[in-house]
Amino acid sequence: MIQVVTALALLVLAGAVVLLFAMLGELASRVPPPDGGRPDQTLVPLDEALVGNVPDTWPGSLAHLSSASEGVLVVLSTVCQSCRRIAGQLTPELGVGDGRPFAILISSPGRDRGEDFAQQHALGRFPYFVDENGDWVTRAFGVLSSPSALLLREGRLEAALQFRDLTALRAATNGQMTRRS
Amino acid sequence: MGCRFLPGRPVDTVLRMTSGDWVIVLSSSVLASVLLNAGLAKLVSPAALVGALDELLPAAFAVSARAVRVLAGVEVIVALGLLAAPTRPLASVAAGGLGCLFAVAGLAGWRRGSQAPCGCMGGGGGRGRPLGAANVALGLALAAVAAVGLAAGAPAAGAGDLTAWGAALASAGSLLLSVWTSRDLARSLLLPGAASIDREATE
Repeated sequence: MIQVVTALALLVLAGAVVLLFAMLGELASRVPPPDGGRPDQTLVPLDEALVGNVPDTWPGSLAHLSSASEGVLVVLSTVCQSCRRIAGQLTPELGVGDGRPFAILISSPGRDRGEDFAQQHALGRFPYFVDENGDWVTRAFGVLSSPSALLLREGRLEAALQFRDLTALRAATNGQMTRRS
Repeated sequence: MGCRFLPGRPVDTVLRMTSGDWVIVLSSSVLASVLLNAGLAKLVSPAALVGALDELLPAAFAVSARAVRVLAGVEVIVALGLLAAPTRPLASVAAGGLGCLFAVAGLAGWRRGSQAPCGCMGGGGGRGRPLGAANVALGLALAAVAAVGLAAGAPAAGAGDLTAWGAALASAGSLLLSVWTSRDLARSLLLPGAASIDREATE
């Protein structure tokens, strides 16, 4: 009997530790970065992106990027929390295009949800395209992650970056495009 | 008197356990470890699975955080049921059913190319892999282990022996799984400079 009690006590302790780990994880996801809330400035190149690819077809609202000498396509998603924050920060003044043509792609499981997302964050001010299930962006550029920015030159994918902060993205896109000019 | 495997547990009684008993103990403890971990993680962080299922299911079938917590509660109850002799057969059937459910969800995510982290095994705060091939493999493995445990039949050793060993091994398994699923968090806490951007789902 004592063995059973001991083993069950061990199980309770193990369960408590598992619970503690789970709570720590949840807390970590809610706590702002340790640098006082400054957004993560890191930009990570997307390994899965098909750099150099030119899509065969373009959605109507993104067509202007296919012929632009330089353009930026921002990929957001209706289910990622960072995307909501970034969508809320997008203003004409803070557009990532910085004078270049840019557009927003909203990946969504359904058109209605994508349109709701655009409406909630007033994205109608920008050219945007609701990509159901991310089918087009996956097929055209192999991009599976958001928020990300696709740097395009005449419709060809030059670079794909995952980001968390618009300012960092603007700095990077300016630098990247300038270097490539 | 020899060395003791558990407090007050003589070697000779441990050695009396048959290979069938060990199959029961190992299958129960493996299943219990996985289900306990998955259940407790989802009890704390149901939002990730809600998001992942939101991606798969039509809006009319949206899953609430409460529903995810009910599923998590079932997982924990089944995990505990696997460790007690009277409830083990029923809990094994339930664990097999949960395994099949995980596999179906994984298959749906796989086919749809799901990218939203499901938080199925913890990791916290919506981290982890999306529903996909790994869930199919894990679900089928759980169902297979449950079937093996059921096929082993009635234990030859006493119920207390099996419960003690099952609970001890399940504890160790749960702890190891928890450390594994939270390794990124542990790394970022221990090595702050190693923290990097977390990828989020496109959809």
